[in-house]
Amino acid sequence: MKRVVIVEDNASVAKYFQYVLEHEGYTAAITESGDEAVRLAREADTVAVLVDVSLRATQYAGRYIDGIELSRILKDDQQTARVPVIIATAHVMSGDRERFLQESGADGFLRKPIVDPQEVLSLLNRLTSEGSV
Amino acid sequence: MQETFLEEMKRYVGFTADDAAMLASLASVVEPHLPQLADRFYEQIPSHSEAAAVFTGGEAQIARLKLTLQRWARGLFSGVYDDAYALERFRIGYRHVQIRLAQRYVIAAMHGVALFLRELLDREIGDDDRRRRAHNSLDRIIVLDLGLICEAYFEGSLRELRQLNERLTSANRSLEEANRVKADFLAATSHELRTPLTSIIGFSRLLLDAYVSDPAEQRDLLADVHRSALHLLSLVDDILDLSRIEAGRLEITLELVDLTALIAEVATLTKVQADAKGLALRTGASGDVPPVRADRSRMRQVLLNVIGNAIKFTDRGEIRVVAATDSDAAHVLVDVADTGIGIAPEQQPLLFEKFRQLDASYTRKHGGSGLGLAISKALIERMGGRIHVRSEGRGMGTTVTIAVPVVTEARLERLEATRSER
Repeated sequence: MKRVVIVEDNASVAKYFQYVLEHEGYTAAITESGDEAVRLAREADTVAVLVDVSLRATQYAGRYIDGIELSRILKDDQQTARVPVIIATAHVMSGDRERFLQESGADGFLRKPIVDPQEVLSLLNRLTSEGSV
Repeated sequence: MQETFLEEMKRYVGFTADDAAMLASLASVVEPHLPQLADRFYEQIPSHSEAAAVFTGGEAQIARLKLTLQRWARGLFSGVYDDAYALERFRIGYRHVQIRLAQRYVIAAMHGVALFLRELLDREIGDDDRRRRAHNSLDRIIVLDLGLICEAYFEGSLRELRQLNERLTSANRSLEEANRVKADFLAATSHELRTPLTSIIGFSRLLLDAYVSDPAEQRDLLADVHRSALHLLSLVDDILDLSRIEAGRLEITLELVDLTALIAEVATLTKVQADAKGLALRTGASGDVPPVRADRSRMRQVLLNVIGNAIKFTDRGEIRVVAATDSDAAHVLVDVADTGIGIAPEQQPLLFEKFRQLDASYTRKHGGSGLGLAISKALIERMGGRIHVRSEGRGMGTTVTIAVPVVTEARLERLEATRSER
């Protein structure tokens, strides 16, 4: 099983990613909880984590965090550092992409809205195959 | 103690107590001629092409300036040349800076005065030796004064420049702040618009590319597209509204409004939403509620927003809308109280911030741009009223109070007069 963890507080957007991923044979696990995301990322089934930046209700270890912090946590944790993290955000003003990637240590970046589902899939394929070579 | 500029100049010029005594002895000689001195000087100046910009005070100003010139000339023969003397010279110089008189006129004036006084002493003093000594003392005090006035000009101009610089710096800071606020709003707007677009573009593409084959699922996704499109529309409307308000371009037509009737009207409109959630929506008035001065349709928009919020954030219980006058009868207060989720004290200051929705799960269920309260606040303030929100905390319900100015008798007459003109 190839599982992608989706950390997204907009149910409709999460559902969109779920459709795209499941259509391509991935399993989608949607969560708003930071603790849950980290727990799932530690499991061998998880091949990637897709994370939104503006998370309003996401907590980790009892405190509110955004997607940047969650990505940092995943990248700093030895058990999850191997898992590619993709930032998916509607914050796309100039400089946002570079700043987010640098601060989060994430491996990929998707700008919302996603015009073509292939953007998601090709990025995912590239990032997951890199690790397995 | 450090030597003052005056003392330093006295040393350079060789100004002694003898000079002081000599000048003091000439005071009575000079005094009768001072008005003539002032007249002669100001005969020349106002005809100058630049004068109009400076002598804006007309005859009265010229008369005042003539007195200043006399006082200055009289001071030359006071016999006392101390710090107070230097300070008065500074003030005279600085005042000329303030009225934006070019320094060259002051220098020319001083030379004119010096020549006038020299000729005067020539005529009035018969004794050759005394006349020579009088000239010497006069020359020294004139040089000294010229120094003091030039110094005042320089210092005064610097002071003006520094003040101007401070004003510019602060204006610049305000501009930068305004720009930053604008950029932040633009970034937030872009983000908010892109979120429903993600569903609209995403799902419509999935449907077009036949990612989904089950008709029920297809319908579900279409419904999501539709919902997101409606959300997008409400965002665009609210953003336009808010931009118009902030640019001061929102037309407000103040008229006589019966709030009790308006509340009843809005209650009828929102009752469907309340019924759907099993909430009681009660309206009432405490005592006599006088008419207020407001824009009827904007007031309606605010009430719809506030009552709509109350319903949105309440799952059990009731919404009570009560109108009453405040203690000094200057405002009608409308309380919209709910038994809903309430607001934590630390979150209350964030309520009127744009795009700020304190509870994401409610937003998802019920939509809303996150601009409603910011718009309501701006609208109420444009009508001369106030709006504030209080809650004892999470789970304790929320009360929004809207205060709108009551129409006084005099205002009522004016309003009716303007209405009959139309």
